[in-house]
Amino acid sequence: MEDVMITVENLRKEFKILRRRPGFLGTLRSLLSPEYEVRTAVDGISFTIRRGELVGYIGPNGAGKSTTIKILTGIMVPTSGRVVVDGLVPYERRVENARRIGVVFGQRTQLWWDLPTIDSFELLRHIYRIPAGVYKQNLELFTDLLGLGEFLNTPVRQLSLGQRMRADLAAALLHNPRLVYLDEPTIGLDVVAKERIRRFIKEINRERGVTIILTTHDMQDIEKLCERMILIDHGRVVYDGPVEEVKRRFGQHRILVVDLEGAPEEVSVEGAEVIRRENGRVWLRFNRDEISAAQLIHRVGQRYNIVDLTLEEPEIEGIIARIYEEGV
Amino acid sequence: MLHALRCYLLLVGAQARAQMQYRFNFFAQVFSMIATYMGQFIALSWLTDRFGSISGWKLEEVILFYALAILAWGFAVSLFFHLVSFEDQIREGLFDRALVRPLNPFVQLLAGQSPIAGTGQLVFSIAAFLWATGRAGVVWTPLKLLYLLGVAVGSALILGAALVTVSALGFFTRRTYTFYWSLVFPARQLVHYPLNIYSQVVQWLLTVGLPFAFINYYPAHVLLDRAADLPWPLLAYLTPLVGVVAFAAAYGLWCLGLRSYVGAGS
Ligand SMILES: Nc1ncnc2c1ncn2[C@@H]1O[C@H](COP(=O)(O)OP(=O)(O)OP(=O)(O)O)[C@@H](O)[C@H]1O
Ligand SMILES: [Mg+2]
Repeated sequence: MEDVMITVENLRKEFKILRRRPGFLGTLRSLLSPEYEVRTAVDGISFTIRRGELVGYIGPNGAGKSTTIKILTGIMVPTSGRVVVDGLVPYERRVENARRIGVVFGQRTQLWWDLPTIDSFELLRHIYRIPAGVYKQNLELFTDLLGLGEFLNTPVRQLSLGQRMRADLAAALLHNPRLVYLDEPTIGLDVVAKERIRRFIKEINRERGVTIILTTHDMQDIEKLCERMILIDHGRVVYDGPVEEVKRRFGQHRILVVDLEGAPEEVSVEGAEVIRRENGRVWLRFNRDEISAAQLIHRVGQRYNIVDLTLEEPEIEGIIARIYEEGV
Repeated sequence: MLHALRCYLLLVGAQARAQMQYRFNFFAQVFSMIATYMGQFIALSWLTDRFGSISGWKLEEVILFYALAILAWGFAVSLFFHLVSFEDQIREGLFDRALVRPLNPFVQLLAGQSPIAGTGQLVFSIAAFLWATGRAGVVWTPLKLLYLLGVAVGSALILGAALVTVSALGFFTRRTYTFYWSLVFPARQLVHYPLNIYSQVVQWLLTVGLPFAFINYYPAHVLLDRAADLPWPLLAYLTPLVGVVAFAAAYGLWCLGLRSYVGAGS
């Protein structure tokens, strides 16, 4: 078990949402006889993550991703289940756990809002007791890789979103954590900024062997960075495995686009479904387990005159979107 | 411990630097505070002038109660007043970050304010105190000065404990302002007047419930050399102990609350 970094078994988290009553007396009554509404955010999740892995943790809004991460980082105590991170139960050994991990919440900065960026790094140096040599080396490296130089002396609140995210990434890594949680580190960024952040994530995973859990809604992040992804929905794991495998498993549908001569009134082909039509151009969706592309083209050719055709491979983006909409 | 103290000072320093960017607010606060106290003070002296004395206390002595109370408040505000706004930190999920850093989250919470914010209050409190002790005819001896130091520390801890409790209740209810304004603030106002003007119930509540009577009422007896008038003279010497015990209890409640912390939604 030496190479296991994270074990999660049957993790559950219920939020008791307090029905609030107005005013002071209401608050006091809520305190004495609370009324709750229960919402299950994480509903029996299990997985293990090995050291050095870079895993995409994805799912639609409200699936329970951030909740899982908050339990793994020690911010929240789960309702039930077992969590071991690098040999520790994070919410029981908070301080020790905190020393070993780095966290970026894309939606919220970890930095000191009103102070120059470099001041945040300095404060973290003391809080994490980072040896002077390590600090200097990391700061130089990250300044170089992430281009921090241009805004080290600018107050955090004046940084652009892209700059802030880069500063947050650097801040999370200054103390050489073995494990890093990135919750939507590319949210709201332009293409160039995203690319830069992806390169950095890849680099620290490869060069330093840092284990990374990455949450995102951008499937490009997943395709470019992760070999494995865990897909969750309604607080449950619906897929856990190689990113490539997702295409095979959930992407059986391929699309044949044909241009037909004379734009026939009625188009129907056995074994495929017409999902769109534009004059003579027809989009046919078919399941590759039931019929091969060659067979389908043959069938279409028998009935109509094909002028041109293309075959569309399933894109992970589309597959995930479909899973989000329709379930597995 | 040493690391925690070091970090506390560094974080407080950082807060101070951040606060200096909003200097105008700082001055505005000082002015509004001085105006408020002037108003209270005028009301107090009008009352005692009119009635000559309140429950056997001369104007000068009542002023001493008042001055001890605001002296303690001066220290407490400098160190703990931001705890009242803890519900904002909970609601906005800002407290999350304290939990992913290798430093006691309570220390991080305490370090969330610089004493600069309370400096105006503190300076005003000390000035008012010196003036009031002069008027009340307090005779200073080295022993009394030492005693005063103990009272100041104990009182700041008692008020601090009340504010820590307010923030702890925030974990359970996600509300803090409401507890400050409906419990701590009125209790503070009560002890601006001598305790013996109130009913037994109120006297008990201010001794064992929210023990604010230890901030000024009991200690004032010693400063005025009237400790013998108390039912139990020992009460006048318990302020530091009450402070430490109250603070420790409040911290315990806070740790309990932390276990139910769930942060902000998403
Ligand atoms: N502190 C909280 N109190 C109450 N409910 C919460 C809290 N945090 C999360 N929830 C609820 O739990 C569910 C899961 O939320 P979570 O933030 O984990 O989703 P997510 O997968 O991160 O979504 P997103 O992609 O939008 O970030 C949601 O229904 C959310 O409203
Ligand atoms: Mg989230």
